Amino acid sequence: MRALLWGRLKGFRKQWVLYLIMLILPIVFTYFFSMMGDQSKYKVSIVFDHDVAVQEKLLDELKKEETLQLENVSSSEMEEGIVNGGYEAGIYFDEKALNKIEQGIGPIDLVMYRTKDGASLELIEQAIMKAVNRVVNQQQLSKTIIAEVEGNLSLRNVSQLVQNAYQEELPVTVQASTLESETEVKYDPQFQALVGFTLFFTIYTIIFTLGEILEDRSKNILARITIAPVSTTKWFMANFIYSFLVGYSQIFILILFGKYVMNMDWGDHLTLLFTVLAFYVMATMAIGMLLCGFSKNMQQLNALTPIVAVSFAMIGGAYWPIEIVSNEILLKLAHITPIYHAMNALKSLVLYDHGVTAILTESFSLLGMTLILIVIGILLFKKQSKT
Amino acid sequence: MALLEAIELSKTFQKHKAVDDLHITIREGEVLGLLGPNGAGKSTTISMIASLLEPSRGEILYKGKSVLKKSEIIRKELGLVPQEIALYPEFTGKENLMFFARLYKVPKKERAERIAEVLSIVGLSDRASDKVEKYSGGMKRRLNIACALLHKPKLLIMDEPTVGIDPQSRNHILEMVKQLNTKGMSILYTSHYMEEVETLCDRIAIMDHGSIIAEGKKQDLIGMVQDQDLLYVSVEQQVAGFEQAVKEIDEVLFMEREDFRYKIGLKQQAEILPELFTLAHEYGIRIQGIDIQSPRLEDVFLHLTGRSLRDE
Repeated sequence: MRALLWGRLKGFRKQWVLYLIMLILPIVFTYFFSMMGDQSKYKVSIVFDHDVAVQEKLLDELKKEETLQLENVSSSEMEEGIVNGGYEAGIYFDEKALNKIEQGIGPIDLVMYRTKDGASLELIEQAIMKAVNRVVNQQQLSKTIIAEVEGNLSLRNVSQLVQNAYQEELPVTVQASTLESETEVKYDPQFQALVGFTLFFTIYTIIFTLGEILEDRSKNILARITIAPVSTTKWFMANFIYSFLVGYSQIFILILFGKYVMNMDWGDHLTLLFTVLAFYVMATMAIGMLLCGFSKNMQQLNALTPIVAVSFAMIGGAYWPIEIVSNEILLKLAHITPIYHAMNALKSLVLYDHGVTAILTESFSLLGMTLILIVIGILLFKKQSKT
Repeated sequence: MALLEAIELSKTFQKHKAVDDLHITIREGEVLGLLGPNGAGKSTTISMIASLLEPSRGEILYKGKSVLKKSEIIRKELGLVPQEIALYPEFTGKENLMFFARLYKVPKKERAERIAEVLSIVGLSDRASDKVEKYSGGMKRRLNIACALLHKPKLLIMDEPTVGIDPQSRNHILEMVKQLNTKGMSILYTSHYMEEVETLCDRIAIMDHGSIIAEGKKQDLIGMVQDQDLLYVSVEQQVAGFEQAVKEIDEVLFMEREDFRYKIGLKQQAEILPELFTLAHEYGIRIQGIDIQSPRLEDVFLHLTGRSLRDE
């Protein structure tokens, strides 16, 4: 097997240009998409139906949400802006909701105005919920403290104290479930772009390096290898190892580039992160093997690969967060793509700071996919080789 | 002694029978030529013998042992020269040889020496460090052969090794095959070039439509048509009725026309020239040249199949 691997690595010089391009493209795309992410904050109008003391604080908290660009307007301005497309959405805080927020009690029902189902609405909703929850928590805490000090301090002053305390990140958390959804979507444009494009462009590198097996077959080198004292299993293994090394090294370099050049925070679970990425490379390799099984030659593989890579990236959540997809069929289809599972696992580790248990399902999905597709791919390839 | 024996070998692809009930024997130390037109089933036969393709039916014995049951029996002693150039073009000649030497488990200590030796055999020592993509077609073919010689195989299978190359490289390859054979290597040589097979092979098997239609030494095969002489007649112009008139002569077995040249098969030692000249005079045809030849393998194929090898 060492001879085969030696041959493959020696032949890498034929592919170094492709490798370099696939290294540069994710960086370029990340740069532009991250910039675009900054510029394209969702423009949301806010209407306060009633004047309450907490209004100012609520507005401050809402402005902390990086994905939102807020404008405090009147009802008519909101309506007109949404109809004209000036605002992505409008949030209406009526008297009842504002009083509940002021009192720190739930449930709170907010009304969102929009003209159509947009990919961004869920993100907007999540951002609003986060900000409102923070204010409700602070108000709840304020009430508790007031009760304790038995009226020596006014509600406004206590509230200010609590707000300051939150800024110092006191270890006080209050589980809020006053709004309808319990889950919170975190979105980091830089993470989305770098990880998404890294996973996307790696597909090409992995599949094209594995595609060498088709070249071996068409040039009849495979016939020579078959009659040599080396088993075809070892030949497949050598090709998988080679493809894995090339694909994984690409991801490794891009992760390091993200950390040291783009100042990406990859969180505290680097070992788990690289483990998930290893599973992803293996699953992509299995997809590549399946495509090799379907292809008669390198030309056919070259035609199939972009179709598969782009489709997987689109439905798997490489180009945009999967959370903004609402179509049930697309969401179900996403499960067949390695990108979907890898993105989910990486988000769990990096954005949500979850540990090993949060990535078990995704990791097993990737491994299962690897085993099944690789076996089918090999069988198809062998069948194709006999004809 | 039979080194390899294929018995009642058949291979069917879907409904197409590529090889049909084939029987072939390769003796130790001989060059066996497998001659046949394109599509006759030569490459399929070779693939089965080399254990690359499973026969639909039949048995292959190497030194009396079944190759189908245990392919390692033949693989370690087999050198295969595929019809395609089975090389990495981005590698140098030497790197290609190094790859295959490692693959065939040539001991590390012997590799450099063995590579130099095969480079010398194929006459590429001075171009060993050049990339294969810069080689001419003939050089690639020679390196293609060199890769199959690294592990000193006992049986060398060469599938159309001279396709598409210049006469100089072809001669080099033919000489090389002769030398390898004199050193004791058994060779199965397939080609649709009759001259190569005639020059190189101790025995010849003629294949058509997946079957061996004749097998034996060159002279034995030619003996099948020994009762014929061939007369080539060049004429200045063609006149209707002349060909039919010649065919009606008793001694004429067949007659074919190639532009202004007639190929006439005659019963052995038949003397038709006076009659031929008379007919030519009658039809106003001027004969420009006459050539009498003994039968060749080409004629054997024609005799057996009614078609020319070159027509395929």
